[in-house]
Amino acid sequence: MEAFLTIRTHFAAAHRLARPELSAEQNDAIYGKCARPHGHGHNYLLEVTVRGGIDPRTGMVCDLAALQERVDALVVEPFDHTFLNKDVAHFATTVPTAENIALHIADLLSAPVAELGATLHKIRLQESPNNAAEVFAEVPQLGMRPQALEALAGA
Amino acid sequence: MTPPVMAAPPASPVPAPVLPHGQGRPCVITRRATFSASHRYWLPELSAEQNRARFGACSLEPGHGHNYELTVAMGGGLDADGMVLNLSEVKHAIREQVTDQLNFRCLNGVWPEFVLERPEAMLPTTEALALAIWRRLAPHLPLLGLRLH
Repeated sequence: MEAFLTIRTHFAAAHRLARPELSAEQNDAIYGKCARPHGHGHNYLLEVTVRGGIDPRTGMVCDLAALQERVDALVVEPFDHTFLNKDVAHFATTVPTAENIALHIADLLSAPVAELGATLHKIRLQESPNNAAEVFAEVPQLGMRPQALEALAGA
Repeated sequence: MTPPVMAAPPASPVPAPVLPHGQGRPCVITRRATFSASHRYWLPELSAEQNRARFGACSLEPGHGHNYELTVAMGGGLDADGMVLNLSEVKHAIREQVTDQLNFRCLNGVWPEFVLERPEAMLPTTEALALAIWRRLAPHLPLLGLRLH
């Protein structure tokens, strides 16, 4: 029998929404206040959902402590209390919208989760109480709850 | 119940090009909005006793209120600016189509589908309201789902 396991963590980070190849006026028109030159901050909430079979003896989808350690080492430590645009190499060239941060976290965790014997299912990154971005790392097949219901279940 | 089957998306023969700022990669975004509104469960075709029996406390005059929480899920590929869509568009659509019209109002009769004199109308239950909100937002936003608390 398979199950989804979700862990929740957080990090505080600053970012600035601006495409480096555009002018200040263009960035201001697209991103408004989020393009202000000195950046602004968020308390990001991160939920990592993995899928796997439940071990018949340990009752685990995967080693929870090991999963938490991977998320801490690969995401929280490198992102926490940083200015994402300057401190995380990927965001020097990719605008750190909530969507792009969620996608990058999914890319960072996909293989490490597989090494733990589970499959990365979803990353949910809540930027503020009113908005979140979700990345589905795998495609649900027939019989699964629709993507929208899953998105809303975490919202 | 058979366990759900999951699979990675089928591999394409030519790998998709990696575009700047995540363009084209699929993502779901959710946006939350709140509004306060009242309603009363009372059907004109039923007697007072029938209404009270059917709807209990929800039938009491002059109605009662809720602090509604609406969560809208939208999806698509990222645009050239790294967003599924610009949040200011989302906020504007929700404000114009939903919260400006419902906030601090009585829901009974606020929209045509809740005008009970009309035979096709119904009571403004949470479900009916969610459906009515869906119909108004769908032309403006790439909706995947709505949740109304």
